[in-house]
Amino acid sequence: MSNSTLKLIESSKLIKQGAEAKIYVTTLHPNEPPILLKHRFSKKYRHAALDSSLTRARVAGEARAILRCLRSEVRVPGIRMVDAEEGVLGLELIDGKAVRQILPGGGDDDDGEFGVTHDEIMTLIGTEIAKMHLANVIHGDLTTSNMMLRRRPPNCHPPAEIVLIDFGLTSTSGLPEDKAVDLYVLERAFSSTHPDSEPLFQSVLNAYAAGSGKAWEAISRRLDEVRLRGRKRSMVG
Amino acid sequence: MQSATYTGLPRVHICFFTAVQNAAALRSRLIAAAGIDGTHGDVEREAVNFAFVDAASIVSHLHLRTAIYQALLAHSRGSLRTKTVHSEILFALNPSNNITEAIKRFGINDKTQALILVRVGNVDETVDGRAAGTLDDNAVFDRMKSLVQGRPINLEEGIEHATDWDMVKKIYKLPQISALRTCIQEVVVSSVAMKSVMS
Ligand SMILES: Nc1ncnc2c1ncn2[C@@H]1O[C@H](COP(=O)(O)OP(=O)(O)O)[C@@H](O)[C@H]1O
Ligand SMILES: [Mg+2]
Repeated sequence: MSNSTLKLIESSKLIKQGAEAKIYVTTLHPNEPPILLKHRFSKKYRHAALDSSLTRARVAGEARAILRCLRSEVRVPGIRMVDAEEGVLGLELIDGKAVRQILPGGGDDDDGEFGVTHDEIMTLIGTEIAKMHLANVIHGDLTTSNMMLRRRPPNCHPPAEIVLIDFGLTSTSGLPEDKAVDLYVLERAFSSTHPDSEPLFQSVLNAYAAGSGKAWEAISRRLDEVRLRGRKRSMVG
Repeated sequence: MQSATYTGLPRVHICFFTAVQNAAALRSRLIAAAGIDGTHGDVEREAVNFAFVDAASIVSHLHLRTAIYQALLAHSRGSLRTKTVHSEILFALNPSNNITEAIKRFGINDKTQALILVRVGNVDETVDGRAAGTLDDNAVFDRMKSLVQGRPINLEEGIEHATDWDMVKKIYKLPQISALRTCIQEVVVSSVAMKSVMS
């Protein structure tokens, strides 16, 4: 391998291999914490030039969505380096645990290390998504894997916070419909991954409603419609 | 001074100077060096072959490092947007693509008191008969010190005390009443990191 980003990847530690991207942990600068590299590797079966422009567009899209969130003080990983030509996005490494892992059915790996109850976690999630939607960012893939719980510095209240991750499918929109669909995707993720989670998801919605103020009414109405469409579809299909 | 090597990229030397006395003279020397012909010109250009960054517009060590890294990346693939890797660092720091504006905002000016010098080793070039990529750290440091009338101090500490937050907010279009410094720093660092895909 010739170029420096590929060399950097060679010297990094692979921590996850997804369908679209490989995830590595590495150190970029002296005296700075380790970072995460998300490498959208090339799909050999796709046309090479098309492939690289698609990859570039997706890296760019993810970086722009993250910056938009940061500007609205939505908690997301900071950006540390971009090499769009190679399909690499370097991000702040979040030292925490996926919400999926903490809740029953997902891994059930909650030893109380974060000092917050499940219900408090739901409130944090709802609040963070409301902030994101107020900035007209539609995540596109809200699941309990794509949000992490992280401890805050000592003496902070609450003692933990939610960090939203994975902006690979993100778009921007101010439409209540798009926000409702975003929430519906999360609702489905809850019910398919975490059994008996209806009360938990209701807490997410309560906090979301509180955080989105006047916007909630229209979004709520749309959410009911989206649910209805979803049910009809599942009865047919 | 700090020297660091990045995987697959040249070695980088950084030094922070406080209480700088000769900013105006340094700036004129930089401008003059560009116009001198012949060997004398080459020698003079080599003498000032650094990025001269005004520390007032830098919010953190990571901010500066991020710009350096993105400039090294552009340099390594031959896609510099400016003449040299050193001017590219200033370019990388600025949110817009206007190089004159970048130099004005991030480069040395006549009033600069806190100054950061950055030197990127270049494998193609030789200094004192050796490849500059393996340029001796102390030799670089000595050259920096002979250039700047000021006190070299610890980089992190220096940056922390030099930042002009109002100016930073203006440059990066952050609300003036805005929030926590850690939030500002994060927006600033992330903006620099993603400049190549900004628009
Ligand atoms: N910034 C980050 N800090 C810590 N872990 C992360 C971060 N980004 C991603 N991960 C981990 O890597 C996994 C995959 O990353 P993600 O961005 O969700 O890509 P994918 O599109 O493959 O789902 C996440 O589920 C999470 O466990
Ligand atoms: Mg994911």
